[in-house]
Amino acid sequence: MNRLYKMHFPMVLHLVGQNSGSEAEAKDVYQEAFLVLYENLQKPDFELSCKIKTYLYSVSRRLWLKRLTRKKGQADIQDFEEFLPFEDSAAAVTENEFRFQAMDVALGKLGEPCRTILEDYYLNDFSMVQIADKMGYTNADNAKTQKYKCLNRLKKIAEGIKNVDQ
Amino acid sequence: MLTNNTNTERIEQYLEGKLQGAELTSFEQELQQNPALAQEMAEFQLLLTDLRHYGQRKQMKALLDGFHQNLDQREVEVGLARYRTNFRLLRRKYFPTIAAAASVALITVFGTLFTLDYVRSLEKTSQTNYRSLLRKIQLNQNKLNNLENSLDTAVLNSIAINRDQYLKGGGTGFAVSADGYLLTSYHVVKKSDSIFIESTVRPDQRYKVELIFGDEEADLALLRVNDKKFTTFGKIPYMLKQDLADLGEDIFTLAYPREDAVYGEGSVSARSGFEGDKAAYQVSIPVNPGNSGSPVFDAAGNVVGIIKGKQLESEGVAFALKSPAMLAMIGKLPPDTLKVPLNLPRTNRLAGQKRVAQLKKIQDFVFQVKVY
Repeated sequence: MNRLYKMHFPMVLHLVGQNSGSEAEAKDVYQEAFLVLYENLQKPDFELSCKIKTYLYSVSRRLWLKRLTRKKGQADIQDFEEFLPFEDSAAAVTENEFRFQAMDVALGKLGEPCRTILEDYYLNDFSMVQIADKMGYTNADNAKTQKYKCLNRLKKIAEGIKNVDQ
Repeated sequence: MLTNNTNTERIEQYLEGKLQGAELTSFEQELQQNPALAQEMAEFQLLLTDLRHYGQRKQMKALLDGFHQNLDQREVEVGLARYRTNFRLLRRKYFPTIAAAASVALITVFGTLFTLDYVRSLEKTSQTNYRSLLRKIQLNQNKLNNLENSLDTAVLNSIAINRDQYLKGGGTGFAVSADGYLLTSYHVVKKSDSIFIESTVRPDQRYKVELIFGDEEADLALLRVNDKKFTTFGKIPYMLKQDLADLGEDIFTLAYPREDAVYGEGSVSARSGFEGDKAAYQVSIPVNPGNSGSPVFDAAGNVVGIIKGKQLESEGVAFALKSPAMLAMIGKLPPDTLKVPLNLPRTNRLAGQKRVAQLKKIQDFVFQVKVY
């Protein structure tokens, strides 16, 4: 994967660079495209209908076009590779990024110790006993109660964010 | 909407399959009768998917950031330059820049050419003392074959002779990956229409190979088998040494100066090659035309170099490109050159063995390179 990453970065750097973007923006776009590819590859019904290079280029192109439009109001990209015109999947692409951002903000607002508890339990697969131990709760049940409180709060915050954005 | 902990807890236990017996049935019943609970469960599931998705993405992002930090700035520049050259010329905007760059380039090119020419004229005298060990097939030999052929076509119509009619020369090459990559000297394959490798140890192994990459200055070429009947070389018993060999170290080689593998031994006589060439060793191995491209092993069976040439007026003075220089060239290959990743051998399975046993293993991976 590292090789793959290395191989096509210059292409996207060039694409973004040629169309008034910085290297940091190129990195963002490229990583996002890479994530899309990675997430899609994990779906059982996904079929890669072109070369990986073309796929990465097309997604990056789409993403950059979107960002440019947001920045300047209108945008036009100079192309140097063939690409697939992803109109529909682009929506899903931004949707994924949006969900990620929303969760990031929500977890930020949630604050400690809730964030750590939830991340440890749901993302790092810690047991309640381990968490109680780590966070200094007297027993696993106390930690569990705390966890549910946190979860409910997170839910409310997440709903709040989604409503504001819509 | 007011949610309480117990509800959430029950939902989670239900989803994790921890609810059992009476609790399970009552929960399922409630789920059917109470749409609010069902809705709550759906929301809970959504939240968890979001959370997990967030976790995966974050992990992946960290991984990608890692890759990004590992990016070799120079490699990126090289990659970028490839796109720029394709594209920039189309853009009027850059015309003044291009014009300026072009004039600088022109001056540099001609400047270099003149200087090189001058240096070359100085070097010419010494060049004649050096000889690369390409095996040249003499014209007479071919004519003889022709004659024989026409005299007695019926009897002498063996494929071998027909084949060799077009033989231009040859050298030696050795495998560096199980899936078909080989190294040899660039001058061996430089002027080739087609290249074949042969082994006298395993006569079934005669394959067509293609030139993947050649470096004239280092005199090193990377070949790859391009033959339908090829599957694998098998596991390679030696590896390319990353460090330099020591002065006086015992070394040996296996090569094809004629139609059979020939063993030669000697030692590292100097840390530099012909006229102070830092990328090569001087070695005291008897070499002949056809030795070009043969691997030089140290006592433990690591490849420390590749034979490239010898000095004419003195005996026992040959030169071998150093293994770190070989590794450097392989490392610098443009990313798209390799169709299949080149996995160099990472283990040496020859250390500590007797020379005869080492050679028995090595001989399967050293080939005669025939150039047509």
